[in-house]
Amino acid sequence: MARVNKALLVCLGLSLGALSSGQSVAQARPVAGPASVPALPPGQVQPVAPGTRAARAVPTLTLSPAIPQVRQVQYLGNGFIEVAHAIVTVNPAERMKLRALAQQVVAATFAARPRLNEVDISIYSAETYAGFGGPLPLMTASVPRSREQDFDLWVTDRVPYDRVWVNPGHLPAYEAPDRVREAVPKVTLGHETSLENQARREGGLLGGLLFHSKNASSPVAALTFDDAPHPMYEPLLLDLLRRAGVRATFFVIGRNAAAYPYFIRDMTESGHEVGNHTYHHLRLPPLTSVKMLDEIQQANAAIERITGEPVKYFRPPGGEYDAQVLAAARVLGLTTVFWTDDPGDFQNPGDALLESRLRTKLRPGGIVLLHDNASEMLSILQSFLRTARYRGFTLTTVGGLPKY
Amino acid sequence: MLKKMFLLLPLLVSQSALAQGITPADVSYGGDNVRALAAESYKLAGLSGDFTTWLADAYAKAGVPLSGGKTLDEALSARKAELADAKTPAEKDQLARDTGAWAHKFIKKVVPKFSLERGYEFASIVKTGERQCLLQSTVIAGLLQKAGLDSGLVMVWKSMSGQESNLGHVTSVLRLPSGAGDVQVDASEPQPFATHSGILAWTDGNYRFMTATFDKDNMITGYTRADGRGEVKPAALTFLSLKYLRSQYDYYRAERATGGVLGTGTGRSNPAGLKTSETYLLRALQTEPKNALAASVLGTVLRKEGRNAEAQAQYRKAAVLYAAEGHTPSGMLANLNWANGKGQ
Repeated sequence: MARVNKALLVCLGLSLGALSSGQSVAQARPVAGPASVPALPPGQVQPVAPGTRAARAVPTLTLSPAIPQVRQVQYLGNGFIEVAHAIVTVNPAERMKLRALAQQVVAATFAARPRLNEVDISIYSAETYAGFGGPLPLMTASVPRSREQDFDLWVTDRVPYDRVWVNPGHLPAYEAPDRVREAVPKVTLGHETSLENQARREGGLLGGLLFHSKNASSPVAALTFDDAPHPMYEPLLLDLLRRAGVRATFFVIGRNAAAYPYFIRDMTESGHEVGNHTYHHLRLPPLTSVKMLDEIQQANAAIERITGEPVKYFRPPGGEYDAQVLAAARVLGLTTVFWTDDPGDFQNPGDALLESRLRTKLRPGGIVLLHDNASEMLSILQSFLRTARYRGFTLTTVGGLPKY
Repeated sequence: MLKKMFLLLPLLVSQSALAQGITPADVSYGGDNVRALAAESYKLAGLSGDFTTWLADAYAKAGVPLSGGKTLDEALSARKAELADAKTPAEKDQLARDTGAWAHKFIKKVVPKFSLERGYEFASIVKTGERQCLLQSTVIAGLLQKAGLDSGLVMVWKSMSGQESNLGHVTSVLRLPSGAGDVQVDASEPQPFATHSGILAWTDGNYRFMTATFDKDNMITGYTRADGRGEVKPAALTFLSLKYLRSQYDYYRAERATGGVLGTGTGRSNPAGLKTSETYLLRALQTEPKNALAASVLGTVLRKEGRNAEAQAQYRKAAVLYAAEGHTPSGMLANLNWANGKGQ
């Protein structure tokens, strides 16, 4: 087992908060499955949870000439388009020149791989950078090749550009997100109440809970993605869904929505639904009620600021909940949404197994749980969507499920 | 000169309140605060639309005109101008009273039913035509504010018949432009101007239980602190803050949660309902830690959840709030006795 730095193991909404500096993954928690999970580079996005198999390596680009502030440029394709994500870190003196630096990196990345359709960039403070789950970037931007000129005008002439975000500096204080391994939705610190039991058994919307659709005879199932948005996976995923004509519900992490608002706008403009997955991706049951409310409310506020629409649906990270979590969601006017089908894309089971799980578990009235940042999900999604269509299923948003 | 003084009065009052640390709630019709309160209620009910627009439509259909205004905005603007143009304090006061009476009639006409169970939600006004004391008082105060009058809300702990409660009622209050006194505009009563003798509002650095002294035409000329520490002129009394109102809306959501502390809708409390009540009360107290009613009922919720030690501690916290505010209702005393091992 390689010794790893805590800062290098932060993933999308999932950091190894329990690790002390210099502690290895194995020392922190036993890892099942493959022999080991390798040390991960900065900006690594693949979740590292107990039992997780190593993610397949994501290819990287080398810029020429090298730009010293660039830590890494990864790229990925979905069979139709390719997107790169550049991670850049700057020192205090360089902060005054972020626009020019961003322009330089974007241009160099497009030049390094002419097939790229889009370059996304996240510029962090070098002093606090701790990966994707660490403190938020100073600035982010998304530059489709067709918009490169608009981005250049934003840099040179300060012409407004809608796919850029500059950290205002007054967002909720940073908190390390929890490593939460999605499992069967489970009650912690208590027993399931009769209301939950009834909602689980009968389906439909009951007391602010949704386990599955009410009408199980209709071949309609909801497609949901947790942990969104991610600057490399999101455009690839949205592109695949657009090509398939499928709408889904994204349970987004509030802080990431705040830092990449243009992807949230892309979701709503494409007819997808945006749900609440807390602000920091924290395990909720151990929190005080007030803190719990804050976590959910802050995510609502971040999402509503972008979409202008009230958030309707909520999913607790890891599916971990207790009566207080459900009450907090209810108080905020949210329906807590669980799932019937978790194929484990989070754990990299392999494309064939993942696809097989999705196929066999798909059922009328079900709710499919996937993660927007799992590369195997991206590999098999197109095939799964096709299979669902051949079997007569309509995959839709949570809002599109029959609930009464 | 007099006109100038009258224009300055609301300013002086609000500056005095600011110096003490609170600002009376601005719930002016169409304003951001009331829009936010309504939007939250609509969201909880899954309702789309906008309450301001609904109320404007209701005015257009109600046949309860004000100052000949065809729209609600026009009506309130016209009344504001009439108030500004009135020549004497007596004329201004009479116009203010007329406006209060109009608001009383208007809200009763457009929201005909009263419901303790649902009427605290703006969404209930729209969905079922139901209102309750907090909501109707918010709307009335908002209409009066929009007409340029000084108005707000106070909690009521002693009713017109002298019946005491644990802050069981809310009314709107109109401060007469002349500075002569206050009148209570309460849509729970058949007549526009009520005479609730026990009220809770802000004065001397805290929310305080007070009793009102009424003169002719139901005008309040002064208040007496329930803790016996002196008299309060109307101008020195500040209506409930926006924080308090938001807290109180959550209080009612807690009180009336399905299966919650009162067993609403289910006949008895259940764990999920109690947890909902608990969460609303925690939020109410986060918003306004001085809301003694929310603090005491949280103790009751914890007790019903079987968390007796926490309930006892919570009752003691509530008792401190009541004591600081100058009066402890009998129900709270009984709870405190239980917390201290002296009663059931």
